Amino acid sequence: MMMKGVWLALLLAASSAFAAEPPDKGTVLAAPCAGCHGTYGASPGRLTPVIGGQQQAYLKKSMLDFAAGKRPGSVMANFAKGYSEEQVAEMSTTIAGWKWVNSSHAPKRAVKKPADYVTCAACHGDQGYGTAEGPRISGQTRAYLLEAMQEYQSGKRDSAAMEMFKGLKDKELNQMAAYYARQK
Amino acid sequence: MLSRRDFITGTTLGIAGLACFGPFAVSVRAAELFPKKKQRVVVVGGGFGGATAARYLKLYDPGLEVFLIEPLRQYVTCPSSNLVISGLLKMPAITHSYDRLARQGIRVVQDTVSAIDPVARYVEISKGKIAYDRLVVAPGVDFSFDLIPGMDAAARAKFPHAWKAGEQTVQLARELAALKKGGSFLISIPEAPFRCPPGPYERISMVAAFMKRTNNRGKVLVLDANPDVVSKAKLFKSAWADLYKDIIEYTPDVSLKGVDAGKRRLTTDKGELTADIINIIPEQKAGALAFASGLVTKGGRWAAASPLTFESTLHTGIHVVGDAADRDQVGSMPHSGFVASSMGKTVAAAVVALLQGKEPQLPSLENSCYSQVSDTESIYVTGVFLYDATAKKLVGVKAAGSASSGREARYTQHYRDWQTSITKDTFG
Repeated sequence: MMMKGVWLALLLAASSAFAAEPPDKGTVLAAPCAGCHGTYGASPGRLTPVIGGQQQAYLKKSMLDFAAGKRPGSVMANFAKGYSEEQVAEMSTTIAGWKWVNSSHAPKRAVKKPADYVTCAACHGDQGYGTAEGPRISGQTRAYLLEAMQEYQSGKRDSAAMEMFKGLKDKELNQMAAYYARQK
Repeated sequence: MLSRRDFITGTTLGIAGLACFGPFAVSVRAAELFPKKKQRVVVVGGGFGGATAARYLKLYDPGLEVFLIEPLRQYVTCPSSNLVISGLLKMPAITHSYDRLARQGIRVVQDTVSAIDPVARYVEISKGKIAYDRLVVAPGVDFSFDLIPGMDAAARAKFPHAWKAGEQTVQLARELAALKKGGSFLISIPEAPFRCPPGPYERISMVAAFMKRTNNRGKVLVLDANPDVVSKAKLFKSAWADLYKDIIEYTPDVSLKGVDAGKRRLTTDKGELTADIINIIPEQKAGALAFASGLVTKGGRWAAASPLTFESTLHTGIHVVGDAADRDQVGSMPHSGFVASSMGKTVAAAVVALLQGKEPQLPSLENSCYSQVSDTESIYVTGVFLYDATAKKLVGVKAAGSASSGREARYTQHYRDWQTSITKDTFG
């Protein structure tokens, strides 16, 4: 009898080890994002941002801002309008749960730390991993970081916290983008 | 219960297949090539739909045995193939091997499925049979050459469609590169629906871009069976008016009545004509396997499937993904690579749930489709398709389905990123 009990326990353990839980609602909703943003949000592109492992609050805010027309976007301005707020919450929770993979398009050579490093760290965290609505920028796609800062600078994208970019030169923005793209 | 007569036999079976009924038939048919140790899903067809389904089945449940059966050694993507014709990209940029999928635990079998037994649940390939618990078929499209009188083997060789990327893409690229000064490129577009609705119009733009780039004073003659440009019409037409006014001659509502390969002549309801390069895209239907395996309703053109799980409504346990699935039944998605990939993921999730006796999630699909219109600029269109309980199929969310407001160089970078990302997502 005891032997039988052990076997049963082993069998149960084996079967539960093999049968992964079927994908939940958020996973099915977020799956098509990988078409452009890479499998599990690990973007292999030069410009398309990494989203897997990004801050959940920031992902959700981005989608809602795109949908409301508060943030300029190309295809994202359309996609964001396709989902309810509840669906956006589920998708962003799923995507935030994926593992962050640094962009492979970082500059090869070391880049000087930006003079304003402390200011960046206030919202993006000391290592640039982000804090809630302040997105992770370390290991993000370089061209995307630059594009985002240029959008703030030109006023296309509005954010009180990013007012600081308005006085900066392209060279400085380039340096910041390159620096953070290289951080792991 | 289905009888033995209901065993589905493929037309691709040919003479080798008929031998199954001969003296060696029993042993061949009985031979299970890979004795099943765990639950198994077999995927037939390694395009965007099939390869994505296989990859995501393994990602979602690594314990599953996942097979991918595909006759070709490598896949050449239709997306971006017009850029190869124009000379902007080379073939390796759109060619992908299945090796990485094999390294990710998917059993890739290079073979053709000759028959499916939906009752005993196995598929037959050249060397024997492979059992399955659930089957995913992604047969893509085939061409209705028979609807064009004179479209024999000679005509097909001279007037390539290049609507499945590969050798014919190379053929058109070569012919275009060698086009004489003042030469002409004729493209014949079939009535919708066809694979990749903006595809023909991107091709027109890319051929015109070549002519402009090389200053060869050539012409692109367009015979469209449709009353207007089928997709992104405003964007394509404004690009043509701005950039290729003296190059493109677009004629809508033209019905192709026949071709003569020997005389290089096309007959249409608006008269006869010829050109230096002739590109005929025939009407399309579900791939041959869908017809051969009884997945198409009598008189139909596409495979019948449920909008919830894309399971065939004619045979249980078989799911249809990609271009072959009947849009009247499943929903209004375009026949695109992105939609096929999206369907592959939804089907993978549904199959994992069904194998565990659980309720699958509702399907959720997206489409994102770029077209390059000049050497630098591109345009796009998007779509989100969610299940609508009233319509009982997937319906495009209106607010999410619109085209770009114009053409931009930035979108060309998006297009390249898209190509990199979706092919990595599909082929590992």
